[in-house]
Order: sequence, then structure tokens, then C-alpha cells
Amino acid sequence: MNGEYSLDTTEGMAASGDPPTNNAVDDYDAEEALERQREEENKIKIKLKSFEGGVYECGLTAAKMSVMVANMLDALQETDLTKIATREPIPLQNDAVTNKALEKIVEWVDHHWDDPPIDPDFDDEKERRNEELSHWDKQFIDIADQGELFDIIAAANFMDIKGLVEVGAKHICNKIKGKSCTEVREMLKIHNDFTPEEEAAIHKENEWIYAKD
Amino acid sequence: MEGLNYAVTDVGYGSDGGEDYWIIKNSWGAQWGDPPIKIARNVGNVCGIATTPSYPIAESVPQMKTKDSLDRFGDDLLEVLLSYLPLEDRYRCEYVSKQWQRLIYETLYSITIDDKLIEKMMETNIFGREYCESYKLIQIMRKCVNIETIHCRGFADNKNVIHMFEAIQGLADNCLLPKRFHYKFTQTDASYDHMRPLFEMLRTVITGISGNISQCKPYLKYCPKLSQLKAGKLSDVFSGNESVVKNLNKFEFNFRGFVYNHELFAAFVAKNQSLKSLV
Repeated sequence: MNGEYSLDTTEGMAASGDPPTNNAVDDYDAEEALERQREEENKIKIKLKSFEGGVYECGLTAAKMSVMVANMLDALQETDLTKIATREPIPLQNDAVTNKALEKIVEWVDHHWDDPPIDPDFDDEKERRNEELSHWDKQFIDIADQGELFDIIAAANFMDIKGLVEVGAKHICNKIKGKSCTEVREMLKIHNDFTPEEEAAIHKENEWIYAKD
Repeated sequence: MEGLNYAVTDVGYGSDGGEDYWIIKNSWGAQWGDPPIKIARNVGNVCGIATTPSYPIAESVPQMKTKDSLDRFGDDLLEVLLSYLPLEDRYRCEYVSKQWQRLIYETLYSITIDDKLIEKMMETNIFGREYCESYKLIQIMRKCVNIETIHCRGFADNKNVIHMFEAIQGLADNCLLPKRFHYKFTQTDASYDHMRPLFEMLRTVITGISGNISQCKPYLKYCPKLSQLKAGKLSDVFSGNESVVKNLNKFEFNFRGFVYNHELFAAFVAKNQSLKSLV
């Protein structure tokens, strides 16, 4: 796979001093048009229904950040998008999608709807993975009630919203960093299914971790 | 099965004139096709119906998984969560639970081996050093079954090069040779003689080299996957008038004291038409 380190072609062109070709201009126009379309579509509001029955309104482009919702909307084969708004709410049939979780999820997609899409093959993937959470995301995901936090992550995973799952994952990993196994277990309420002997054996294998820097 | 997020209730199956079918009930509501519809059964694995079924299990033991316990997450989701952990935290948390142990190294795709890492391992061993260091390193790396890239920063100690070599040899013995290998030479680096066996073993996976490369010049042309190179001067990649590297897509060299030699440069570009970045 050469994707990891190859560079954007436009950058390559700039470096070699070639004038941009017509193709590049067309691409740029197409991108602009797509952005405008996304903006227009986000003005259409659709309804999402939680597992507990609560109904929440959300911009269409924002809602489509959920691959699952996007697929369901595709399945309707509705060409007139405005009609989608008048349809019955889209049911989200997973017990993690509680009222509270869905309310937070709608808040998140409404804030992030114009983010560039996540492309795992793109070079920046690695950089993005290592990036710290934005201030907004940090505040958003800093939820005291752990059950609620896990609901949001599980619901985002069910709805297939990769960006939000990533926010949750980074948040939890930040909490794990530097903690001992026992502390992690306690914090995340994980059941220990190792015998003390097994535990000691793995601890010994990984002893190098505890050496001083 | 990946990419599945559509759940239906399988309410039965039947046969119609020799054609088997599933009868499924859609859970989305009236607008997505109720009453129950029939789906041909023998036409492959439509919607993953045969390979990815889910069904309720009546448990006699009380449910341990409460809402605020991370145990509620399945393997797929937990693997994604753990993929954001740094290397050392993965080793530290291996024995949180068996589920963690199973998943925590799955997403470890790259590792950086340098003096610091090897020295850390040295401190912990009480027995014969020589033996233990490489053994430890092998043991550590063997856990990373999906390793793709190894980054190596120049070693100040020649012995560390040997340890790294043995560790990678250990990986190779377990069929875990990485796909990519980046090596950065430093001023204080071991002489190329030490590196030779390593280069011979890894030449087919070496994708990036940087630093003082003049000493490994004769070997560059035997690295077919080399795509990124950072050199001191342009002449470092020339043997006589011939460029020893081809098909690079990134090349960096020092412009200071650079005397433009049209012939050399033209020869270099001709062999590296895939070049996307020149610094």
C-alpha cells in the first residue's frame, strides 16, 4: 500500500510549478457545489426516534453522518428530499439509544455536520488518530455518569458514526493512560476473569514497562 | 461480517417449488416493508443472513453486565476503543480481562525501536544480559501479531543494533516480518558492517531510510520497495553516473553547498518518475 506516505497531487503540482490543469478546476467546482448541496440539505430537518420513544429533530446532512441512518434513507428511494421531513420518525432499535444518548448524539452531529468525511485510506488518517480532541469535543464528552457515556459510545457505534466513536475512544484512552491494571478495572468496572497466577505471569512478561525512564 | 447494521427478525423459512427462502420481519416500521417478506435462501448470503445471525440466549446466571461497566461492549467496539492506546499502556493493561488480552494488540500496527526501548528492557533483567535483552524484545514483539511498520532510530550502542536484529529475526521466525521498515541513521550510529545482516534480511521490506546513508549506498539498489529517502547530498545516491535508487516518491537532501549538476539531476529524475515530493 503506497497510500500512507504519498502526497496530495495538487501539492505535487504546486511544487513542480506546473499550472493547474482544467481537471483540477473542475474538481474544485464540483467540491464547491457539493458543499453547497450539503448546506442546503442540512436545512431539511428529519426526526429520529430513540429506543425509549423520544423524538429528536436533526439536520439531514448531520443525520447522514450516521451511516446507518444514511442507508435507511437511501432505502426509502425518495427523490424529493423535503418529503423525508414529513415522514414518521426513523426508529433506532438498540437499547443503547436512550433519550439522553440520542439528545447528545444529535447535539454532536449538529455541531460536526460540515466536518470533512473520514477516509481511512487517506494519508492524514494517522495524524488525525493522534490528534488531541478539540476543546468543544472534550467538553461534550466529559460526562460524569459512566453509564450514560457508554450509552453514547455504544449508540454511536450502532448508528455507525465513526467520528463520534473516535471521540469516545480517545476520551476513554486518555483516562486509561498511565493507570495500573487494577485501577483501570476499577474505573471501568471490568470483571477480572484471570486467576492470580495468570495475572502474575503476564505481569512478569511485561515487566519492562515498569522500568524507570 | 463487516458493514452490517440492518437488523431483521427471522421468523421462519419455507420452500416454494424447490426454492428455499427465509421469511423475515423488518423492524424499522411500516414504511420499510411490512408485512413479512420472503428472501431467497440459496442465493449466496443475502444481507449476511446465514453468517451473521444474532439470537437471544436465555441465561440462568444473573447478568453481570451493568450499564456502567465496559464489559457491555462487544469485541468489535472494544477493539476500536483500545486502538487509541499508546504502546506502553497496551502492555500494562493486557491483563485487565481476557477480552482485553485478546484485543489489545490487534490494532498495534507500528512500533519504534530505539536505544530507549532497549535500555528499558536491560534494566529489568537480572540474568545474563546478552541473552535476556533479545529474548525480551522478541517476546514483546511477538504479541503484536499485526505489526506492519517498524521504525528504527539510530543506535548509539552497536550492541543494540544486534539486539534489534535478533528481535526482528525472532519475528521473522514467527512469520511476522513487517511490511515496512524505516531506518534512521544518526551521527553516532553503528558502522554499516553491523547493519549488513539486517539489511540483507530486510531489504525487501525497507521502505524508508534517512540520515547518513553514504555507508549503505551499495545496498540501496537491492531495496525494491524503498520509496522515501533522506540523504545528505545528491551524490550519496549515485554510483558513478548512475542513480542507485529508482521509483522513489519522496526524496530529501541538503541544499547547502549543492552544486547543480544537470547530468546527475536529469539521471535521477529519469529513474524516479514517481517522485511526488522533493525537499
